[in-house]
Amino acid sequence: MDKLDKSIKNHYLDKRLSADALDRMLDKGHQIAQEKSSEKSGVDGFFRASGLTRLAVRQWRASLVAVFLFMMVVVAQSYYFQRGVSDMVLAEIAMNHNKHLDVEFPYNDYESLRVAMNRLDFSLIAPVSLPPNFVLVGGRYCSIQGKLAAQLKVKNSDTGDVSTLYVTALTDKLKKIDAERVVYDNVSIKLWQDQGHFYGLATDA
Amino acid sequence: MTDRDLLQAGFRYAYSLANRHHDAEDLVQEAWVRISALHGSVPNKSLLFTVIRNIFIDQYRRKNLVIIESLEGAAEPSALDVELEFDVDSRVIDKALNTLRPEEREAIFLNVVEGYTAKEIATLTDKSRNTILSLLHRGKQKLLQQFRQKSDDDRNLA
Repeated sequence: MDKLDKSIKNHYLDKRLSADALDRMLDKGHQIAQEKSSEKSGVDGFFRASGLTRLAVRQWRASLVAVFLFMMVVVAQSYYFQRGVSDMVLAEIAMNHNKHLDVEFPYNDYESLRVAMNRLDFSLIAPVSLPPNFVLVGGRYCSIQGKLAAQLKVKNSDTGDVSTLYVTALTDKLKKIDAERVVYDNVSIKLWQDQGHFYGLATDA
Repeated sequence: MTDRDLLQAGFRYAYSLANRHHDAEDLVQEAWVRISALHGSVPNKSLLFTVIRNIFIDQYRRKNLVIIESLEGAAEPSALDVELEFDVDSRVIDKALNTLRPEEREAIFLNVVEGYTAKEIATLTDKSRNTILSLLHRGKQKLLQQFRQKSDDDRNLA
């Protein structure tokens, strides 16, 4: 290996995730894996307790899956799709909020921020429904469902709490998400749509 | 390979694409969550790399932030005919890598760091072997050119 290759290799090998970032991602992965596992073992456990053979359990499981899929497609397709997208967005917002990343563009007015964040394919404007006591601190790029988005820090001037406001252009997928306020992963999240934009306001619960 | 090793490898690959720490962290995190949600765990590095790559393409290529440079007319390249005669500081490498196209950084990373052959990279990235060789050759030539320029500048200053 020549010097150039060695230099490049060493350069990349020096790039590492912090221990905190590693732990956070592993925890999230384990949490999701456990949820999947408990769903699976719950069904298996029920049938095995009934004295059925492994093959019978598999057949039952396959039948159940088929029935479930049929019901899901025929009866509740749109609802589950909407809910799935909504959950994915909530998970994404909660995870990003919990990272507490610093802003990359420290501007306290939307005009300056709009100029600085020129990669956005939508106009960055203050949402009408955001209470006036929420003061802009700055922003950085992020993504929501693979779409480039802005992640803004806003400070509640009454309480001093800092929230994260996610903004992206309203896509067909995001249009299906109803306005709602939920607590997800210890983060209070409000989702809504306004003037062709999709917003998510995340605050520590 | 442990999950931690997988994540670090995924992060380095994401870094080769994005060349920014935060962006690379976002990419690997999103890929990790997506795969965990689908499979319950992340089974191997190959899948992790593929998902990271797909997310990166979704996020950046659709925004036309990746400049497509034609490889037409490129001579039959050999990635091995470029050599560096001196040591280079990591900050200089970082700066130089930032001027490369993501495809060039990706090909160089997969070849130099992960040890993939041009044929394997071609399969992974759905490109021809010749295109990969061109990317490797051009990328390394660009890096060398910048390192030499920096070295000349430093010498003139001294």
